[in-house]
Amino acid sequence: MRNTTDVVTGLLTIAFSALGAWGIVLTGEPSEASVVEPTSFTKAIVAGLFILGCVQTWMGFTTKRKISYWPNRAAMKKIIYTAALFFCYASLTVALSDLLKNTGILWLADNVAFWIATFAFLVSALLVGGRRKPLEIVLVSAFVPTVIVFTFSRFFLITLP
Amino acid sequence: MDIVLSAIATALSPACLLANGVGVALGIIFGALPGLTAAMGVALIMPLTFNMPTVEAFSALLGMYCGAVYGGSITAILVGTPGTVAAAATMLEGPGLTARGESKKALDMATIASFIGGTFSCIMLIILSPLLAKAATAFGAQDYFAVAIFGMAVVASLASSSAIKGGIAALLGLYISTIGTDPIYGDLRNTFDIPQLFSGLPLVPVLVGLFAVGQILVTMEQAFVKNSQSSINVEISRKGLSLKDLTSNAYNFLRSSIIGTVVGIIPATGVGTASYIAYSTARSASKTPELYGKGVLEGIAATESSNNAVTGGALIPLLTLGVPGDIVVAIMLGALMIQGLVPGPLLFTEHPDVVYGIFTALGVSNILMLVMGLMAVRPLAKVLLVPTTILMPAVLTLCIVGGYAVNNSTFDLYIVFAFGILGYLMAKINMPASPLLLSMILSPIAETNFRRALVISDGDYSVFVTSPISLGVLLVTLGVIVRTVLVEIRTRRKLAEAEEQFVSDSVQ
Repeated sequence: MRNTTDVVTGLLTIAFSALGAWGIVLTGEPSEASVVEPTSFTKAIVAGLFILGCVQTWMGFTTKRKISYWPNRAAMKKIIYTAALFFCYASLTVALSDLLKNTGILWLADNVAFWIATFAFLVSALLVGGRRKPLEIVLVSAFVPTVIVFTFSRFFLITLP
Repeated sequence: MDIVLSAIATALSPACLLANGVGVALGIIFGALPGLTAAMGVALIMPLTFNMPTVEAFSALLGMYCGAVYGGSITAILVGTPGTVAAAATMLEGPGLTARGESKKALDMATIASFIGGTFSCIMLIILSPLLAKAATAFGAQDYFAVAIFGMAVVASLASSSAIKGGIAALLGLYISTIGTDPIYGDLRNTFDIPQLFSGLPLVPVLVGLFAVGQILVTMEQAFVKNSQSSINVEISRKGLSLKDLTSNAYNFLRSSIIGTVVGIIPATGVGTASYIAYSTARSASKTPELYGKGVLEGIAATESSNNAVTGGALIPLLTLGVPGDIVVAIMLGALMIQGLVPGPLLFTEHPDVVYGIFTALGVSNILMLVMGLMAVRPLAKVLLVPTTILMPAVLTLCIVGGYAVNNSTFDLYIVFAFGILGYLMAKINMPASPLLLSMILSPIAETNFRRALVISDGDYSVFVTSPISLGVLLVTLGVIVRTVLVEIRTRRKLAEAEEQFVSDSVQ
């Protein structure tokens, strides 16, 4: 294997085309007789993906360039942590919001879950990012959700999670 | 005429001016900060516009767009890092001028050139759009299909150094757009029996994930690699631009503005392409091409007037055909749809108030950009001092807000996350995200019109080649694809030869 990234990209594309084919199989019969059935467009796309996936894999095997897209392990670790934190942030917002809504206390249901989850996410993300001054971390983490809640929810009347 | 005047009055109302001003200011900040892009800015500001009247919403979005395209030049000139792709060519000249103590001159030139380019394209938008909309009423389903396919082919071939990766991204976008309900008969397809997918993948969370979360992760990684915020000097010199600098570039402004507008009109191209074409044209036309790359104002005048001229040009195919001219305008297409409007020739007859309101808002955005650029560039440049490790997590929180705001669905938050990871991985393997999004947006146009044309022609595929418009556009599309494949093969062959040469030299 001469270019791992290209080979993996090609194989993932082939895998995705297989997933697409499975989606087509799961799709039921069209409700009406039509000139072009609903999955005809998808079939062409999946076939195209499969062909391009094969070409990409073949090119990965034949190209001599060795490219590293993740040059720094420490940075990559931090990115994985940040991505994981972002997922936890989304999940915490959803869970906390449901929990506080179920208490029936009006002021608790009003953006408090979003504020807490955002504060928790920012504290963790800033620490992962290498910020070390406690006052700076707390101030930024409290300031950002407060501004968002005020601007979006109060001023622009946008519903927050 | 009354409708036009009332639309202009609406766009000049205090609420619209405020929205426009906030959009421009935020846009300049987004453009100036490396890692924050115009697409990300428009995607994130979009939720704020949901409750606004259409013209007010577009005042904010267009302000953000113009501001961000211009804002990239600030970083390119002062720091030597392009704030956005649009300013990549500006970076070739900006740092040289800054090093000579002429940063204010360079920034003023960027501001005025951006204003001239933006205003020129706005005038072209006003002149050409109604004409094209009139012509577009003659377009049949097969012609719309051909234009959409052309847009996808162009973006897939231009967006990446690898046409294969561009093609894969475009096909992924096409597949994703087919998830949900069939647009002709309403049958469910590719939903994997997941109820949340029955209405398809929502556009806004997808684009917030791809263009905001993915880009933020890439930027954070770069900041982690540097390990600390490198010291940035944002000091701006005193000496500004002279009248002679402007008059000597009059033809350069005009030529670059025309290039930008034309590139903007071609579906799926963008600011980066326009600024490089304008830059190389200015260089070849220059009496002193040897000075290019060392800090010449002509270069900045060319790149900045052309990239801002794309803004108006890109709106022409969007408003008249419903086909976006570039990726930011593609996001705006989503905003138009959320406002309940369908772009195309009918928009001009059914909602002229909105159309002329948008035209006026674009003109106002350019004026506000000029004023802020000339008067407030010093304080705006200070934003570059905010450390990336603080700024990016804060922007990530906005992604949660933006992803949730359209449908108020918690499932959308997971879509934001999933597409954020996809966007990051795509960036890491040099696979462009723009073909994916553009295909997602163009796919319903392509599929609906493809199938409609076949229904009308009773299943006769020759309908696509018997219409002269469709045939012409499909032939051009074929030409784009063939050229891309040939270029790719030639590049790979040259690369292989160079590697073999390198190996044989190393052995010797």
